[in-house]
Amino acid sequence: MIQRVRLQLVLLAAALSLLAVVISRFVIHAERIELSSTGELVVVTLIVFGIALAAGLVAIALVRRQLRELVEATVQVARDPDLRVPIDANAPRDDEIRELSEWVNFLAKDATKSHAALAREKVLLSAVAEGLNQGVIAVDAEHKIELLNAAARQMLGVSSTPVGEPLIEFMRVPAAFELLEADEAASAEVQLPSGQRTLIRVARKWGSEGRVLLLEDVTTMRRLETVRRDFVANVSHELRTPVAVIRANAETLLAGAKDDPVMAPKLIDGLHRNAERLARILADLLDLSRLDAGQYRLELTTVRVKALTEQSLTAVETQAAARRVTLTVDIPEELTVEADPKALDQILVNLIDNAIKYTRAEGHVWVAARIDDEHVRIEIRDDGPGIADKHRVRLFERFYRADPSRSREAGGTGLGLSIVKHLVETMDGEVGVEPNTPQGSTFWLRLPRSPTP
Amino acid sequence: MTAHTSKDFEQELRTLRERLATMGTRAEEQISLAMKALTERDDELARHVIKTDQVIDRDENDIDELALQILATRQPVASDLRFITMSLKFVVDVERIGDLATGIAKRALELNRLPPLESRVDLVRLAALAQKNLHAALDAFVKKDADAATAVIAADVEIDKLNASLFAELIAHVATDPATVTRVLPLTSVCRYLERIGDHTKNLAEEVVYMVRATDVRHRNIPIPPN
Repeated sequence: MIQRVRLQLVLLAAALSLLAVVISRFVIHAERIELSSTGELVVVTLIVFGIALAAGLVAIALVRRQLRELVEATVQVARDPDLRVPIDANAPRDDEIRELSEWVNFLAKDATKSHAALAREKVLLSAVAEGLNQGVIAVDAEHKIELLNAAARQMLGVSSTPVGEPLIEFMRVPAAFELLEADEAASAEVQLPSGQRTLIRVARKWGSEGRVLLLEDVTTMRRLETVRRDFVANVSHELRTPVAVIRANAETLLAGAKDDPVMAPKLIDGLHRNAERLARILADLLDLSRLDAGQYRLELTTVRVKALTEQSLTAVETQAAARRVTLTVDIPEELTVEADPKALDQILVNLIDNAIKYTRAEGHVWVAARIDDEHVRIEIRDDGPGIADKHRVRLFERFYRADPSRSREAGGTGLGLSIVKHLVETMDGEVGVEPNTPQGSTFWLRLPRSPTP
Repeated sequence: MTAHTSKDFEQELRTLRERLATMGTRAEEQISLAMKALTERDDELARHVIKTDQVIDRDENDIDELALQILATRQPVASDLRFITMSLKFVVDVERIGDLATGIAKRALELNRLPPLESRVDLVRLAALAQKNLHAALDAFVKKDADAATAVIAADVEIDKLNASLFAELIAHVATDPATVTRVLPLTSVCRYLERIGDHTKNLAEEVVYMVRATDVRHRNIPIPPN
């Protein structure tokens, strides 16, 4: 700018000198002054030119210095948005330099404000995204990652946030890419390599072409749906069988069999057995619903594990003898837990009874207990055929049976383990099942140790 | 080339890359589902695998068409050209892997009609190895990692070794109890399918090395016959 001004100034000085020459011509002519030569005229002209030029250059230098100061101050402000350009308070309001400084300050202030607002937005967005249980993946038009929240990182098994990297390098689920290609909002349920069942939803396009994928882990939900569906199917099946027998026997009796001395006792026995069975199932269901509703009152006291186990064993001794199963107990005398004695007895009878029922004839059942940190771990092991993996995970569900025909024959209601689980959990314990080596199963429960007196 | 068409070209290459990777993943899933159908004796799952193979076949056609279209309209050169020619081979191998997975599912259907074999031959381990290798090959492909691809090529030896020992084990079964032959034969097929999956995976890895390094590593250890 200054260069242009300088050129203009030279031109202006030249014009002024020309004007001076013309004016002096007139003056010389009018006053009849004789100049000795044209040389003097040239000298005068040059002097005028020189004075005009010098005055102009001084003016430019002054303006330039002020502008330079403004430029430097502006650079400082650009580097540190908290600084401001100093304003000359003595300068008049309409001074261009002052006005310019004020506008620079205004812009700087505005920029700081927008910066702060943007930073806040960003923190807010990432806080919201990180806090979500759902996985959030945002990609740009080139399917490069813009955002990957904690849940999504966990689902895809990545530790860093690979912003700017292509999504395909971290997720190759075919359905997800089909969704990204789709024009509208859509969803699909897939199995991630981590094994999670995941519902992937794609939101509509954001910005120019980017898209947002939402990943929701539905593993538990799907499992619960299966449990519920199976429960309804099982409960109706379990109830229908005895009812059908009762109805058939009663009809046969009414039709005349009641007078048949051979048939009648058999039919009546069938009636009785199935009525008992129904009653057992209903009692168990009632227990379960009470436990579910938290109406099952347990009174926690200090229980000596060995003494209680021996008491429970009396309930199953006959059965063990009938199948010639050897029972071995290995529990330290002094071991005590914080539990409800009646509930713990019910649990132990149930688990030991199962072990005796499902181990091989002339098999072996071990009941052992030991201290496990702040808990006591009680184990009931058998050397039977064991339980397949796919059954083991579902064993504690209501009416779930690994081998339906066999367990019904054995007289179970299908609710025992589910009641055990509820009771143990009500007493702040845990229960589970593992394969026993070399064969059989180990059912274990952990209950809190009673505080030492 | 104008900025606009160059952007379109980039997008076509990206789509091609994604389609190849997801097709590979589908084949990977097919292997694991087929093996699940076999070990859990699940007919429904086996039929699902057989049906899903159509999707992989469709993928092959789509990808072929896309690659040819890029070749015809963009006249790519250098690494782009290598990538596209590589993708034409890649789909063939992945499609074959899909077919082999379907083969496993078909054998599962046959075996499910027969009583289970007493001692289980460890086919699951062979399948896990084959799957791990395929997964690594696909990782190498998307990350353009020639070193990882070279490792996949080397790992194929393990699959071959395990295959040989499992095969011998299966034959021993028939030798001790000839009545098991109807159940052992389908299992030997599964064994062979898994070994073939390993070979196709090795091909995929070689193609990745070619794409990244522009060097052909196929048939490296075959001696050149003297003239």
